[in-house]
Amino acid sequence: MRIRILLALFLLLSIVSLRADEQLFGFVRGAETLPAQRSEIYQFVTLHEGKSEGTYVSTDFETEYEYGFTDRFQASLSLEQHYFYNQGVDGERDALDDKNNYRFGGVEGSTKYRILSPFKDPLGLAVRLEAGYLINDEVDGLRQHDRYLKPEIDLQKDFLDDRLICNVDFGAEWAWGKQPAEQYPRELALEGAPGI
Amino acid sequence: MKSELVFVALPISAIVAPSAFAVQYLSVDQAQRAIFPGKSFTAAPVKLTAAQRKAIEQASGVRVLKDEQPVWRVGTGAWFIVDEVVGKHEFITYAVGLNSDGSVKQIEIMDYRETYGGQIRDQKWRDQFVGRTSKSNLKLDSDIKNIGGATLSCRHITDGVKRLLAFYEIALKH
Repeated sequence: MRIRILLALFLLLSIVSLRADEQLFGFVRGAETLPAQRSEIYQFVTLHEGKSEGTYVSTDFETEYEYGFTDRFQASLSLEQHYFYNQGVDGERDALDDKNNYRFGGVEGSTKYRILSPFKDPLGLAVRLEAGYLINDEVDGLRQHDRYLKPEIDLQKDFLDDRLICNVDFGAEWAWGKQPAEQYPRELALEGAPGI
Repeated sequence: MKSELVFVALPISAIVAPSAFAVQYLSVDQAQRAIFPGKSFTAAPVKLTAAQRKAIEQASGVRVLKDEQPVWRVGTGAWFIVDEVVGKHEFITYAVGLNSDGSVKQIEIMDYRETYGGQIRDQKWRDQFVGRTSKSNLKLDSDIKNIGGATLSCRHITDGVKRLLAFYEIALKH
């Protein structure tokens, strides 16, 4: 619990100190794009912890490089890495081998095109396409050949002279090659997320 | 499964981004000398009444964020005003010099605290405001050219000047 509180506090402080083309809400993106010829690097750290039995801690490290080709079009490349610490996870649903090791997760890339500006048009609108190839599962580091495509629409509406920002992202993800980490060879997921 | 998930977004963009944020380009004194060289200034701050605030918002279509406006009367009958508009995260501080007839003489960006959008300091862009009055249309793209990659700053400075021209008509002119 203490770890969660500390990390949540750190998240809050991180957001307050953001600069530039920031993803204000962490994983929720707005309709803004980087200015032309500008670049940024993000480092995301995601902690998964707790199973019904034993000790389970999995940490994802996603390092993302983002570049603005024009004021409307940007692309990014990400590297996924994982660190696992499992001891005694031997429940009926979750049975994982004991481990304390690193796994390279895979690579991801994305493009984003802004159609309408949240600062000039009534509604900001951008389309984003992400693709990836993940060779180790993020839950337990199981070997896989997960390939996915993820088209997404990013909406942004600003209020009060751009001091109140509302973002909504929604899209779909087609993934295949997740076995044996997942039960099914193919997956279709619909995703959406708001941020205010 | 009682899995809990907490994520931490740790932006290190400041390390690689251009170090253009939090820059003071001009102090009040420097801005005064840049717009009205060799003139004398008398501080004449204005505290808006609720009615004036409402009138300015109606005339300009722009929200008034602060009731107190730092203003200086210039020896020639002109005005020097320091104002702030919202940037992406911080305020952009700028100064507007008004001729005695209420038209814009010059604007200067004093403090710019954002990573991107500092191109609004370009003189060619700022010169678009010269000669504008409260009767002028001031709309981004049609009357004032936008700068790609600096849209937010361009729009807010344009709105800010529009508001100050209404401020002149309502609070300074008479």
